[in-house]
Formats: sequence, structure tokens, C-alpha cells
Amino acid sequence: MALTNTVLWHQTPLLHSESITSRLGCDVYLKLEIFQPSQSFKYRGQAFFVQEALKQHGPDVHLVIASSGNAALALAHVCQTLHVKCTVFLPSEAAKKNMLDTLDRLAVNLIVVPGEYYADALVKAMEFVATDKNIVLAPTYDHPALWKGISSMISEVAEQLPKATSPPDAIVCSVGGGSMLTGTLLGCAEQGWDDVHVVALETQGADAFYHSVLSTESASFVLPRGITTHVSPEHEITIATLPEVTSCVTSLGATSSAGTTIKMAVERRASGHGGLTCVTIPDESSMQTCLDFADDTKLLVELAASTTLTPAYSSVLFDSIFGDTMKPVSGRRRSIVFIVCGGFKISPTDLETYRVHLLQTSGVARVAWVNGRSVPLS
Amino acid sequence: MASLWHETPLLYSDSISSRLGCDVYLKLETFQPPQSFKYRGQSLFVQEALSEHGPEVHLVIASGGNAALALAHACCALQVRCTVFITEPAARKAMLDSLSRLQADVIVFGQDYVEALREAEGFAATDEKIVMVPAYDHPILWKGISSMISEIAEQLPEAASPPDAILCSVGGGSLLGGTLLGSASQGWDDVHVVALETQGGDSFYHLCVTSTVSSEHGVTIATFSAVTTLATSLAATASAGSVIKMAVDHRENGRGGLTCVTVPDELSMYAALEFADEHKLLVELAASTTLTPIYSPVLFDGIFGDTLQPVSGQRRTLVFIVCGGSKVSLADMASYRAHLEQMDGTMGQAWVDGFAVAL
Repeated sequence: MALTNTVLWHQTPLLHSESITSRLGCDVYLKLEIFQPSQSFKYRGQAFFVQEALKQHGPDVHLVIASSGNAALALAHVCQTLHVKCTVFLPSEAAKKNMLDTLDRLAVNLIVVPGEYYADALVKAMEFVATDKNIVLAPTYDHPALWKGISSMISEVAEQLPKATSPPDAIVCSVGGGSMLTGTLLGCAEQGWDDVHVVALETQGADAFYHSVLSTESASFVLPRGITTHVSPEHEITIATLPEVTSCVTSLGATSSAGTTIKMAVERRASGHGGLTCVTIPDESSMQTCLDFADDTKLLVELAASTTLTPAYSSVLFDSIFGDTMKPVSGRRRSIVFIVCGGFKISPTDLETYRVHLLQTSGVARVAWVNGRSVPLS
Repeated sequence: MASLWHETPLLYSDSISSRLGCDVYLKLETFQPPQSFKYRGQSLFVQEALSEHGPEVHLVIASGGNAALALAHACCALQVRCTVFITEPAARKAMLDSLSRLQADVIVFGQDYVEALREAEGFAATDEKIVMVPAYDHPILWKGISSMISEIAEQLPEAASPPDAILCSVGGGSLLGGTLLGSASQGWDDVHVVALETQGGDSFYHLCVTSTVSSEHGVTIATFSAVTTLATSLAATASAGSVIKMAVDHRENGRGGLTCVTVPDELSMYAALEFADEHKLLVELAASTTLTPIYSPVLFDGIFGDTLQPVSGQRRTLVFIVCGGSKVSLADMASYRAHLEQMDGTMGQAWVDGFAVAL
């Protein structure tokens, strides 16, 4: 089947943002993954996975995923394009009209699982997979095929950046399960971009990755109550697990990140080159950025993406991450690429909800965490 | 000199295509640096002005917004002095901040474009180095804007080119002028062009549909004394005469033809809200006016009838020019929603080439 060998994902725009550039004093580029067919970067990973599955199992392979959102949509889109049978196990909390209509349009076999947790849907999905050897479970974030597909984003950025701006001085992305970050790090390795400063953001209450990295680096790192850790002998790292996700940013809501992601991050931090900074922010900062970004660029993005953009809209946070490292050097301006991961679960009414929430909670003092240091946010 | 404008995405909309039964592409002009298609025309004008008058030229424009922003961007990039006469209603903080950031001199004057224009012309007359920049009525603008069509020709998959129809909105007419010129350059005579306006700002529609032969261009220009549409970016009291002539020619002689449509503001608001939900992009009413046939099946049928049914299994192709515009915010979306909720009864009617379509 010819389509297994063609690239399915779309080269997405790398937009030079004039307004953010003029505010920050360095060249800012936005990689707009909203333009994938399923409206998020996950399309890249799922496309690569399905194409590999087809090569391995043939055209009768039946792909199954447990997901409440963008991963399911990405898989469904890919399967429709490649005429591959697809079943989605969806937690009932995620069974909203928008999602159901879209999955229906994509001719997916849909099973709604009672309960709000991804874990319940995953159990059902795995039981189903065990019934027939032609049925294959598609991963949501923890798989080399996903990471390889996602790393294509970095090759595109390398082609799209003006020569004088490549490699960028920093790349900023968000972390949920970690597939975005792993794909980014793999892509940087492929390009030889060792000196690029990678910044990985999460929201507080969905910050398993942050706690994993800092616990791995220091046995004396004090974990918040309720977070447990275990050592992964395979990766030689400490993996932190949250008892539950309390951030409202459900697209970043993984109770633990992939071992490979944590290991790659720890290694980059230790390497002495561009390094990697781990940041967590409160949900409210992400909401404020979401509102500011929409008015600024006219783009509506999920909170998972506005989390990435928060340093561009908070000078305190920007300074705490970058210090003076983004000031021009010998007249040459620095450059930052923000990976705008996209996501379909956002609408103007959501933003109105955020605006009201921010008004109602405006007196609350907020703090970000940057590499173990707390940063008061105004 | 290399062009300043950016090649913008031509997005294939999976969801819209599936609903309409034809292949729908969106030309997203929001991704120009000043966030609208006007950058194509204004940047070309500035380059020509530089060639003609040298680096000391001082460019002046009267504008309600997007043309001023486009000119200011181009002048900043080319280090040309720029003065903008902007109307009071358009002098919102975001606009003024952007113009200031782009080092344009800003003079806020007048309640509408005509007042600002008169003041700007007075200013331009004081010095021969000062050149008036047109907001929409000039061949150089249309030439720059026609670059959009060359891009579309390159970006469309081979099987989808030429498209069966191109839709755009009409204010002063530069977008339509550029679209018609661009289509002619591509030899796209069979493309059905659909030109949409909002009621209360539809001078073009009235002219085109009831055209008579007289005066300088061979057609009568319809002029409104006041523009009442909320789609202020389409608020020209009279569209450019040459564009109207091109449009009338295309209607009468072009094989694909040109359909003139007007819609109520409310339908445009509805389209803006639906499009934001569907494609996560905020667009001004000027742009969502173009998108109204997507969100109103009865309007879509009123414009296209059966002409977009697949032929020999081959799906038809539509291109919507999403003109962009910086004058839209989340607060506007909330106010559209509130406005629509307060409506009692239907949206009224659209007009398609002289026929009413009940919405």
C-alpha cells in the first residue's frame, strides 16, 4: 500500500511572531501544530505508528486506543486515511458532542467506558486487544514510533528557520506523557542541536515529569505530599507518580511520564551543552496566557499549548528561565521556537470560562517552579 | 526588491469538506505580519513608491484599521516615514499600540473613513514629498493582492486546480479586484467567483445587481450616505469603480460568472463563532462574511444550487479567502454571542443576485 511509505503529516507553519518578538527582544517563532489534520502534533506520532503497524501486520490490522482526546482523534484520522479499522475506548467524561461527532465522521468504532479516568478505558482496551492477535494497542505517548514521528517537527523547523537563525537558541514545549519532549529531543539530536536550550513546562497538579527529573538528580529533593517514587532499573532514573491529576489541563494530565523522556532530559541537563530547564506553572497562568495569545495572534489553543507560551507573556517567568541569555550577542539577535502543540478541545466559550475564573481568583498569590527554585508571579 | 508578503497557509478543512460534500480550502491571510491580506497590496505600493520617489518619501494613509496597519508594517520594514490618519472608532488601544510599535505617526481624526480621508489629503497637499496611499482603490494594490491567487494555484493539489469556486468579501473591493486579476493571470475563466457583503454596507451588491451603463467607468457607482453594518472593515460607502467594472464584466462575459451576495450582520457573527469553534481561529466579521455559506445550508444552496455535486466521482473544490483582520478579540466573540441570544425571530434574509433567501 503506497500510503505506508508517504509522509501523512503536514508541514505546519513556522510563524515569526512580530508582536512577541518586539516584546521579548529576540526572534520568536511559533510552530503551529494546530494545522495537522486532527489539529494537534499527535498526528505525527500516530501516523508513523500506524504505518509501521501496517508494514508489520498487513492491511487487516485493527488498531485500538484508550484516550480522552487528541491521541484518539489523531489515530482516527490516520486510520481513516489509510483505510485501517479503528476502535476508540473513550472515558465517558470525554464523550462530548464535538468529540462524538468527529469520531463518527471518521467512521471509528467507538466504545464509551463509564467513569472519568483514562485508566478505566485503558483496562477495557487491553482486554479487547487480548481477544484477537490482529488487534493492536496504539500507545498514547510512550513508544519509540510516536517519538520518531513527532521528531519530524524538528526537521521541519530546521528547514523553515532562516539560515541566520538556525539553530535556534531555545526550544520551548510542554510535557504531559512526554511524547512531545522526547520527539523534540530526538529531533535536536538528529540535527546536532546540542547547544539548544530546551525548556519543558508542565502545570502544577500535572507535574510528574518535573518531580521525576529533580528526584533523579538529587536523592534529597523534597517531594510534595502524596507523590510517590520508584527507581526504574531499566532507565536508571527515579519515576515520580502523582496520586491523581489535579491540574485542569487534562491534555497534560499524566500521573507519570515515560521513563525514556525522563532519562533523556536528565542526560541533557548533565551534558553541559544547551541543557534543559524544567518549569511548572499554576493553571491560572496558562489560562491568562491563553486569553492573551488569542487576542494577540487570533489563535485559540488548548491550555496544554498556552502552558508552553506562558514565558512569552510573563516577563518574570521569562527572566527566571533565561536570565540574560536571550539578549543580543555582538549585534546578533537570539531566537526561540515555541512548539504550539495545538489540540481540538478549545473554543471561545472555554476562554470565557477562564476569564471568569481568573477574575474570581485574582487575589491569590501564585508561584512558578523553575529547576527547583520558586518564582513569585505577579 | 523581494516581496515582503508571506506565503500563507492554504488549509484543507476536513470537517467542512465532509459536511459540504466538496473539497474546501481556506486561504488564511491572518498569517500575514499585520494579520490581513492588505499587506500584499500595501507592501507592493511602498516598494513602488520607494523606487519612484526615493528613500525620503513620506507615505500617508487614511484608514479604519487594517490598511493602516499593513502600511505601517511595510514602512517599518523598509524604513520609510509613515503617517496614519485613523478614525476615532478605530483608535482602540491594541491598534494604537501596534502602530506606535511600528514607528508610524498616528493622527486620530474623524468618525468615519471619509472624514479621515479628507484630513489626510489636506495633509498630503502640504509637501510634494508626501504621497497619499490608497486604502483599496489602486491597481498596484490589486496587483499585490493577486499574488494570493498565484499562491493558491501552487498550493492546490493538481487534481483540485483550478478550483470550481472562489469566495471572498467586498469592502472597497481590493480583495475582489486582486482575486479577479489573479484568476485572469492563471487563465481561470471558468472559476465561479462569489462576492459577499453585509447588508448596511453593500454598495457593491446594489451596483452589480442593478448595473447601468454611464459615467467614467461605464457603470454607475452606488454610494451610501452612511454605512450601518457592524462589519466595519467592509464599510466603504462606495467600492472602487474599476473593480466594479471588472466584476460586471466577469458576470456578463466570464464563463464561471460572479455571484453577488449580501447577508445580515447576524449571520456573519454566527459564522465567526462557528468558525472559531471549528478551526480555532478568530476572524473579523469581514472574513466571517465570506464563510457564511459554510454555516448556512440554505444560503449555500441559494448560491450554488447543484453546481457543486461531484462529477464522474470527482469532488468539486471551493476556496474561501479568509481575509483576516486584527480588529477582533475574545470580547467581540462574547458580544456576538450575546447579540445573537437577544435576537427574537429569524436572522432575516440574504440576497443572492437579486433573489431573497430566507435564513
